[in-house]
Amino acid sequence: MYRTVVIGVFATVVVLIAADLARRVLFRRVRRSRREADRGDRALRLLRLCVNVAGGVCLAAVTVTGFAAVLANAPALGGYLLMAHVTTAGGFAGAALAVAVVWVSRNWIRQADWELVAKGGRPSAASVSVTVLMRKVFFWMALASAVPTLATALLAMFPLASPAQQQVLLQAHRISALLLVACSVLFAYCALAAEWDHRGS
Amino acid sequence: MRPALSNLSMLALAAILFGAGSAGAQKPLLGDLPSGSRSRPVHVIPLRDENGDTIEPNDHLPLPYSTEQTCGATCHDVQTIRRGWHFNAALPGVTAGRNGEPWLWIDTATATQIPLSYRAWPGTYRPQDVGIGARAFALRFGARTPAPIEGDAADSSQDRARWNVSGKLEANCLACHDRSPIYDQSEFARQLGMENFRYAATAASGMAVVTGSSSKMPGTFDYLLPASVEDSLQPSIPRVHYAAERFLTGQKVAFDIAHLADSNRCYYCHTEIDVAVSGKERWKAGEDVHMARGMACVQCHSNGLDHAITRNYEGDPAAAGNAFSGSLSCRGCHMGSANGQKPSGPHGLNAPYPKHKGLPALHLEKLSCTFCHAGPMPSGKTGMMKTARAHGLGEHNANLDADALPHIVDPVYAQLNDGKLAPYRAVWPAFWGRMKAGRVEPLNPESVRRLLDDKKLSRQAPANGSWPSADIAWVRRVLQLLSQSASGQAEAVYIAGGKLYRLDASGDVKAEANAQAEPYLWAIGHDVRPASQALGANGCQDCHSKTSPVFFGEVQVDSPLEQLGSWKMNHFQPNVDAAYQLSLANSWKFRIWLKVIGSGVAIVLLLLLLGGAYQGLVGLSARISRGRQDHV
Repeated sequence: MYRTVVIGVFATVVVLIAADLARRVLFRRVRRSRREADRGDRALRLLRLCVNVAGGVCLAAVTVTGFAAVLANAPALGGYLLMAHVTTAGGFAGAALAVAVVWVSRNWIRQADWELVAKGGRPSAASVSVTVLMRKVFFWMALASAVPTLATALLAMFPLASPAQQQVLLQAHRISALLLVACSVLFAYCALAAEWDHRGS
Repeated sequence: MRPALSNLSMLALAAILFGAGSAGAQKPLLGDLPSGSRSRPVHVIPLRDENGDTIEPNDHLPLPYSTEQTCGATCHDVQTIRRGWHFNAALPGVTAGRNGEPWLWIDTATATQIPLSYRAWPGTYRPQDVGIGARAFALRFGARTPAPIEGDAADSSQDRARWNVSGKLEANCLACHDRSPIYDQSEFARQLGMENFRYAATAASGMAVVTGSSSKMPGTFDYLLPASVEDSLQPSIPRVHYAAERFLTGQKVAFDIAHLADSNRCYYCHTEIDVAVSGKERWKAGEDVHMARGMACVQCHSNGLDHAITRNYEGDPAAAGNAFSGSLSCRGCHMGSANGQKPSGPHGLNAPYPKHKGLPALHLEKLSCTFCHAGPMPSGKTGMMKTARAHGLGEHNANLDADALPHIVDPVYAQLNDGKLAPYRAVWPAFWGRMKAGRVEPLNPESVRRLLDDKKLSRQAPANGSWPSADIAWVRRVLQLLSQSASGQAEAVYIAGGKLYRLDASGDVKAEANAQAEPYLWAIGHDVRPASQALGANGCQDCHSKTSPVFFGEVQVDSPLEQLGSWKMNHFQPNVDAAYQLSLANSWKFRIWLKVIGSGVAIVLLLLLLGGAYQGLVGLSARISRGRQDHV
């Protein structure tokens, strides 16, 4: 069941991204996005780039190690793969924090975003682009799913939960992690797309 | 008319008796028919000898009473009971179940320590296959089993004749069910040592004093005609002197019989103790948590009339199809039913449900309950222990030295039949044999001993009862002797300390690995330790550390030859990846970092999330109240 859901979610993410890319290529409906903020100096931009790359790499690593057993239809995540997953999860936690700190100021939901929502996604001069809005939405969704993903894994490490309760924690971890990966990938795509929009303007 | 009437009467009587007999075979006997009362039935009964005749204590030479006749003549179905677990080892078609404690035949003169079992558990040898007859078995082990032992085909012709002198060893009901404080199983053992098989139960019960010794009687001795032996032997004739004060009106005696055997009776044969705390240090030894809480052995190891005592491990074939028997396992009592209901426990014991806080569920799949909760706490190397059956604990002549053979090592953490890791006891086999079709067939230790005695090659048993001094040169000489003594027969070999020794073409001794040289393992069930003393009570690193005894401990090799060091615990864990366990142990020190970093990140992310929610609400509020501010 979970394997089917994972495959479905991953496929949905791929389809969504592919559809948007196709739309962009076929219809070239490039919308000039508003400059959101000062991009900062070169060093800061480099730092942001490093954080983004590290976040992407860690996300990929933790996703591969976490879902490989599920996709390979193995009975459970264990052995060296689990050890690799836990190791990369530590890196991912750090990278996730860095990404969150770097991106949080650009993803506050402001009045302009609600304008876009109120207009049913039709941008106006006062609102942000749909891509930016979606980036913000996925950012907060990723953040919201990262907290239970981390919390469920951590709780299992303390002598708090019985084996049966740990199974519940594991299920919660698997569901929130799936949501985290999907939202993170979509957030990353939206961030890139917004950048393309900006550069194409 | 008279003869005809007489014949008719006899026929009628025969029909009645035959009919009654048939009906008797169908219906439960008096003592096997539960009345429903929870009170203990009083056993004021006549004693019967082995022919079923009532014993008169004032007879000139009263006979010993027969347990099978006294208990079974009219009250208990002894034939059914004799098929129970304690009695059926030698019966054909009995399911052996998982490995249990073997009978360990020790012969220091030949440096032999061989595990025997009529149940043919893998790694043990049937006594008859080693040329050990029922009589030799009874003399060696009969005191520590209530099972009947009668002659078998492996008995020598001399032994066969001796059965008539000593009598057969009957099923001894009293070994378990006599609650009298004067019942003395060690007296039973003493009587067996004197070959007083038919007198042993009588002597043990305290109903009588038995004097004399069948072992001193000639093979022609008839216990019913004791006067037939020569005068010099008269003082040694076995005689029974009943205690007159034990006999009530009607030549009946009162037995203190318990339907549920007292744990003290079980302990006589089933005591297991670490050598470090045996003897004088007994007061320091712990006790099984169930016993310490006031339970009795029979509350878990239970049975019906069939005496098919539950062994209480998961998958016990004896419990198949019997839900109640199945519920008597650790999980059955403590974990409840498979649907997650909390246990109520059989007998209304309300066994505590284990919390196992912080224990990943995987552990419950890969480990038996006993892994964490039974046997001695493991250290870097296995220790030595003694059992009542192997060492005759409680018998008058038991060697109390810590090094006395047999050498049993524990705990060995191994994976056997069910694939779960569990603690085991182990004994390293040591015996002489011959290679036949790739298998070692053990030689009769007594025969080897006689051969070595002739050539003055027997080893002198040390006072402490441990291995005699032996070396490779001695092994070579014995192997040469065995080869010469039976030229043309299969190659002679010696197994000891996990190795097989054989002579090579040049006449030197060559040691090699052999499956039959591997130690025989049987599961540790007791003593059960409570949660506070279980593995893991001090944290995950009880097992997941570089020095973890359960994965990286050493199993002491035991051999009469040179000290052969130890085997890695992992040798007994075919499905455990030692490299992975080491990696996991090494990674454990980073676990605290993971906890700290992960917790910190989770808290910061939560704060950002709350901040984001606040900002979003502010933005939403601004959007909703836009155009309204001028009116404020």
